[in-house]
Amino acid sequence: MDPNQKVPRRTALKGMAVAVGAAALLVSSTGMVAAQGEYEGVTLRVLNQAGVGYEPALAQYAEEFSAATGATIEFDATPWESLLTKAQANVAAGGGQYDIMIGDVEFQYTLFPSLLPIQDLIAESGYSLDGLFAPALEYGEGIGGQEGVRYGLPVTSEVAPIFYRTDLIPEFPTTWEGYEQVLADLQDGGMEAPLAFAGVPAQLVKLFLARYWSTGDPLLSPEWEPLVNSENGLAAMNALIRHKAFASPGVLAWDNPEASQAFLNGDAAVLEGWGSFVLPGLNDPDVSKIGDNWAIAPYPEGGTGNFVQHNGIIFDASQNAQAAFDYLAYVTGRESALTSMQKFTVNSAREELWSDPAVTGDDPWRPGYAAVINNGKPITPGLPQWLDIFIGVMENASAAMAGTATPEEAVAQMAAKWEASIAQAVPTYPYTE
Amino acid sequence: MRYFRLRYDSSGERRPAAFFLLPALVIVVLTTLYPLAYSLFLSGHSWNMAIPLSQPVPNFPDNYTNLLSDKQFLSSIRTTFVFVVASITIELIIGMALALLITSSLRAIGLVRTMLLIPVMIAPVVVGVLWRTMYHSDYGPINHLLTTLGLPGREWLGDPANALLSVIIVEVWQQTPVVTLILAAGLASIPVELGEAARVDGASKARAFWSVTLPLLRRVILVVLVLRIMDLFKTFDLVFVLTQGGPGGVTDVMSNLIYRTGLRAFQIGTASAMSWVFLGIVVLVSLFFVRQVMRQGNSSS
Repeated sequence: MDPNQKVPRRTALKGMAVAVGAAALLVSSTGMVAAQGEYEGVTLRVLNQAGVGYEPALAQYAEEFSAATGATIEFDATPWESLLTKAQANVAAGGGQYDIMIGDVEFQYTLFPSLLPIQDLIAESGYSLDGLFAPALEYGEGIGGQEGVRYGLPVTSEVAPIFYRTDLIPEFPTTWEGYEQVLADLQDGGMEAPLAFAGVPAQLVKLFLARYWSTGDPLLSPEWEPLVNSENGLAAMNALIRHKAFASPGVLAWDNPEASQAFLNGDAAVLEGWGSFVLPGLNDPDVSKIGDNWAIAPYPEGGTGNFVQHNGIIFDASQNAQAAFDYLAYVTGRESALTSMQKFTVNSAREELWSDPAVTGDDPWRPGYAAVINNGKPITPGLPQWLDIFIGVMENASAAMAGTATPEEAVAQMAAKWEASIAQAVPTYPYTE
Repeated sequence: MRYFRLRYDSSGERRPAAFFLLPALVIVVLTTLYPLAYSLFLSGHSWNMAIPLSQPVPNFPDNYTNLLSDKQFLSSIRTTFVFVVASITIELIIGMALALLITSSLRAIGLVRTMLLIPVMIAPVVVGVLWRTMYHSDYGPINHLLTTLGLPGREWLGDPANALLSVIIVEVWQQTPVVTLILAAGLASIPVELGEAARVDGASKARAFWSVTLPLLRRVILVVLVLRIMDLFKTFDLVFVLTQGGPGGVTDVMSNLIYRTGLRAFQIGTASAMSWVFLGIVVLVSLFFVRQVMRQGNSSS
């Protein structure tokens, strides 16, 4: 920039307003006084997941944080598949490449020895954990069997609920039997494929878990032994196979966008899927053909898919831990979280905001969705080998659905794979869900 | 003395030659030999990188012997072979037909030649996304066209009976132009007079092609086989985008399984063992065809 070039007055005033506003927000949301320019010369490097709904929010808050504190924030937006690999490489190289990582809470099960515990920083700063979804609060603490230890601040929470057509299903059933009856009636009434879901292997996990967890059984015993190879596991697998008959014959090739599209087109009366894929379309009259004739329901009999929680965590090798914490606190504080929900349609981890009139005015379905999220639980919380568990479910559910394995073989193979993986390193603390 | 000096002067040339070769050698060792050696080392160890602070634990030869009874691994090898054999066979047949077409003197053949290149220029991931849309059972244009013509639509990617064939179709669509171009170059190098002489002797076009052109193209075909087979064995992105290896593992080629084992489940030892077994298979197959090429070269010279 030419130092002799004059800055237009409007631009200068705008910049000052952003800086003042950001500084005010920073103070109000974190309870900390981060002095103007306190982090001048500091560069925070963030490893985050590419393509998520909150990515634009991160960028905006980075701008505001920079204006308020002088810190520079750089993002390495990375596909989900490469996130843990990059984080592991960072740790193996002694840290230093990244200060912050924002992603699934499950990554903490692997990375926690290299992460900075932040419970003391939370207490000192006055950061409020009040109003978070119960699963976000519960499963974000005690990782690695360390009671009271917390590594991350929650950015977003989600669980796949059921979306259904209120004009075709006046009241959503609360039992699986009722659910099947409704779908059968719709099919008999002429709707070829009343149920839509993503049938590619990775997306079958939440569907299986919803049916299995509705039996009340945990996935593992306190001694980390698989319990899925049981009557209830078999029943859940058989239920999933039965329900496939209510979906399009090509459903095993559908991913989330295709499943959402079937619901938005009015070709399906029920969608079991992620809200982030279908909600933008439901709110867009140019995309949705079903208007306001939809609502959200929990799975029957207390079932739930796997709870997804993205946290911001700090690597303990970071030279800028305080700045990193202040940035994360700013992003996830109440004020920013509210803005994230309103402006960026982020599913905030703060449950209190889901019934805030400022949010529900535009999205009246939020409180119902919040109730579903509050019932969620992550897959094998605390187990570093959780990805192996996830893959075991996806491969065998896909095999059973495709008919390349019987349901009995599928649950047996699933349990065998889990057992082999857990045996590599059995955690010293008991398993709880 | 002079003769003696001249004869051994090469030792003086060897040192500077070695010096200039050294940087390239270092790069080859660091980027190829060292990773290979480390991978071989890991294949004899059990190591789940998802476990905090874990280290490789020696377990040779368990990683290899376990693969012999691993149904998923054996199924993946079978799927890979079916994929490779079917794809190369179809590519050769269609590629040869197209090569004959584009080396003819038909009108507008230049335009056809250019259009043929379009699939090759598109990144495999983009091809996968495009064909996923086209294959969509309910909203895809392929089924729409079929039903418009009064034919039944098919479950292309969602039906285990059709999924692998659907992936093969996409692979053939994208890579046949490569085969076509190589074969066309081979055809262009065959003297026209040989074919004309055969026809003067009373041979039909088909007979001339079979008895004259094809034997002369043998070496080029072998080169195509070597290159394409090695490429086909490495296929990953297309399958990943189209099916993720499903439904039910029917499209789970080796690259996908190794990726999922090593970089999703972080079972590095097992994935390394899989990789070495896979490498062995690919080397054996490639060596067979390379030998054929060398034999062809020797017999023609």
